[in-house]
Amino acid sequence: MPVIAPILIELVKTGAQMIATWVMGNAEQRAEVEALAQKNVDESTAGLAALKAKWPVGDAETQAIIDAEKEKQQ
Amino acid sequence: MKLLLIALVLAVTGCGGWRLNVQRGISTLALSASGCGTVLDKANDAKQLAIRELAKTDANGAQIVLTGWAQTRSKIFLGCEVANLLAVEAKRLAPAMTSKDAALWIGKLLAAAADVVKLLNEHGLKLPGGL
Repeated sequence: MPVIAPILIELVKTGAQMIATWVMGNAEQRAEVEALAQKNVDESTAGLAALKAKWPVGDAETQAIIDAEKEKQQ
Repeated sequence: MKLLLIALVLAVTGCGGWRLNVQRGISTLALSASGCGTVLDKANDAKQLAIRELAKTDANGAQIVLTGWAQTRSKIFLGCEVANLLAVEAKRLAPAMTSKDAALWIGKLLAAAADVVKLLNEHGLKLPGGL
C-alpha cells in the first residue's frame, strides 16, 4: 500500500490536469464559436438591410427606362 | 462521491456540447440567410439588365416582367429575412437555453436553413457551394 499510494496520487493529479486542460479548451472553443455566430448574425442582418435599401433604387432606374421606351414606342 | 463527479463532468461537457451546437446552428442559419440575399441580389442584377434590354423592343412586356420579378423577389427575400430573424432570436435566447431548449432550437435552426435552400431552388437559384 505505501508503494501504491504515491502512484495513485500521481494518477489522480494527471487525471485532474487532463480534465482541467480539456475543460479550458472547451471554454476557449465555445467563446470562439459564440463570437463567430455573433459575427455571422451581424453581417447577415446588415447585408439584408443593405439589399432592402438598394433594390428600390434599381427598380426606379429600370422603371424610368421603361417609361422612356413606352413614350418612344407609342 | 464518484457518481456525483461523473454527473458533474457529464453535465458540464454535455451542456457545453448542446450550447456549442446551438451556436453552430445559428452560424449556419445566418450564413444561409446572408447567402440567400447575395444570390438574390445577383439574380436581381441580371434580371434588371434583361428587363432594360427587353424595354428597347417591348416596353409593355418589360413592364409586366418588372412587376412580376419585383413580386417574386419580395417573396424570396421574405424567406431570407425570416431565416435571419430566427438566427437573431436564437442568438438572443442562447445564453438562457436549457439542453432541452437547445435540442429543439438546433432542429429549428437547421430546418430553417434547409428551407432557405429549398426556397431558392424553387425559383431556380442556388446558394454558393452547390447546395
